Amino acid sequence: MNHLSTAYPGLRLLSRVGAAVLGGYLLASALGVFSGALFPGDAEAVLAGVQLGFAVHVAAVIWAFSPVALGRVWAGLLLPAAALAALAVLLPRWGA
Amino acid sequence: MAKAQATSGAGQGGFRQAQAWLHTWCGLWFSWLLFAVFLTGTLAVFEEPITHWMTPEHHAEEEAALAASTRPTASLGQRLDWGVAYMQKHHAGAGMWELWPADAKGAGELRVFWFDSQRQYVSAELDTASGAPLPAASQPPARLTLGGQHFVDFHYELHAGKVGLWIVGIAALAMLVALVSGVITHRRIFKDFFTFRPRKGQRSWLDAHNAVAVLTLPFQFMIAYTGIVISGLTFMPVGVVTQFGAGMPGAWAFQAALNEPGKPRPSGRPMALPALESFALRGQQLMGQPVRAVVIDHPGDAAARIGVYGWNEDAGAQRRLSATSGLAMFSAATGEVLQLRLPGGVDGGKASLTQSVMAGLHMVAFGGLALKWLYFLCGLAGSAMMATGAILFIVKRRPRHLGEFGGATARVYRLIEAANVAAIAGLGVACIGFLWANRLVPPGLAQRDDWELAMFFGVWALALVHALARPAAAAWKEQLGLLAALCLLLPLLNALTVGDHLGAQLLRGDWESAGVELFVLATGLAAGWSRRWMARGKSIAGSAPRPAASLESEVQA
Repeated sequence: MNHLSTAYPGLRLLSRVGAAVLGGYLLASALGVFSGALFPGDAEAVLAGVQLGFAVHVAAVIWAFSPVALGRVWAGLLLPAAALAALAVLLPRWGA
Repeated sequence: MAKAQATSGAGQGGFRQAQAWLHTWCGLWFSWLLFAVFLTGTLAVFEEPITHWMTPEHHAEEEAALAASTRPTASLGQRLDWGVAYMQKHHAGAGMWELWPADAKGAGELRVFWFDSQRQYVSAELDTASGAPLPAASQPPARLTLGGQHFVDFHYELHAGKVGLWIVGIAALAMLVALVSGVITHRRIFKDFFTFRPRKGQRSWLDAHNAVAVLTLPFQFMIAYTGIVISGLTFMPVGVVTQFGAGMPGAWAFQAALNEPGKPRPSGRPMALPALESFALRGQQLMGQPVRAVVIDHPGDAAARIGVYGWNEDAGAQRRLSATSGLAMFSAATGEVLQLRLPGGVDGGKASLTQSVMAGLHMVAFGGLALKWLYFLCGLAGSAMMATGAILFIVKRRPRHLGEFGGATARVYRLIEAANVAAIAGLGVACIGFLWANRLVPPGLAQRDDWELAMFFGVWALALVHALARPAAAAWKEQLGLLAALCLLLPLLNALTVGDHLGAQLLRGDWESAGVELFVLATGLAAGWSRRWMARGKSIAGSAPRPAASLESEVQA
């Protein structure tokens, strides 16, 4: 991956755009799922998650295009997204 | 700086340089679509006057309706009884009866709505003197048109349904990204705001871009964010899916949890529907608004529920950011109040209220005419921000190209210039072409409204072909000239085809028609002035090449 991307600057750009668009969307969506799971069955919490999600997505894009190494950008977006999604799965079980 | 702007400049250099790269490219690729969304959205603020201008045959009917509405007719109770009698006689099996008895003054038409056996929402109008059903309007309107609705629909879904909604949503998110990165790039925004260097080519374009953006920055953030959030559940459905299930059943369950606490199930025991007048009057008193609609769930059943909705036409509605009307819900059997919502309130909690306020903010449902004008001007400024940004990109690269696209750079610049002409001047021509089509497509033609729309898209497509075929400077001049001519001649076209003109409009106090024509004339003058200014050599293509280095140090974006 690293070797490839230094050889083709176009791929690096594509990867960064992908991280911003896809990674940012996944992070924002994970936040929505998490806030829904925090208050199960509460439609208000789901709606609030959606309303905030777009601010998260914008911030993610801004960050993805700041001078940060590509690997860190992907990790910085996907790891918190995965953590939020995992918490959303685990929370109801702990609560029960 | 120059190096940081090469193709591989994403995420390189300092933070501000990286943001300048993002602002330049995110701004450029989305500027054309965003300009179209913004300009049509701005025109959509005055959707109603535009529709009014586009339906001249309707003016007489409107005046007659206005005159009729001041005459007293049957009482509210009588109108409700007629509505119930009609539904009992013709559509007793419908699970929901919706009666719209009168306008806010207790006059106007009486209408009933229900879902037919195919789950279609249908309605009938009843005579307000006898309660007898009126024959459905068999004649389609003389001049079938989308009217101002065209601009509303285009600005949020490009007449392309869900696909269009997604495209506009993505563009709106890109706009937020461009705004944030733009603020970071032009960080001395207040100093920039007080700087205007006219007749300095590239610097003037930069100053103009900064000035319109800074002046209206809060509006631009607000309109883009609220625009996304209105359709937010479509764009980010996963929270609903995980909590309430996928597809339509999930969406229904979510909506029910959000604002339909405890809709009753039919009990199976029959019960005659009580007279509605007392419910309507109690509802009116509880919510403090005149009755707009009375909705009966499960009529004829012991579990029937009666909802009384209010008219949002009181002076208070202008001061409420949330545009919801009042609602009082009663049990038909006991008369007990099941639910009360005051005007501007929502059934759910804070997130529901936020959603309603965001929709109200975006659609300028509050504040009256003054605020509509403010939105209109801010919308024009936003459109100008995108147009000047797109032009600045190319003006900056005129003296010396930056080689972002390798060997193809010159050709790509050429395409970008053509896109600028077609997206900015060409869209203007398409919009005024839409109004011309309204007067030129013969009334009574089948699918007449589609022909008008075809003219809009056809003219726009021709503008793109023209922009690709002609040198950029000539294309700008010709399209601006055409825009000016079509705008300045529109009142003449109206006089020739319909026989109406500004003088007559002003005399009869028809400010909606006069407003449309005056704004079109002003646009024509502005386009003509721009064309002359370009013809004198101060073209959008920029002044004579100057040393690039001195510009680089000043211009960051």
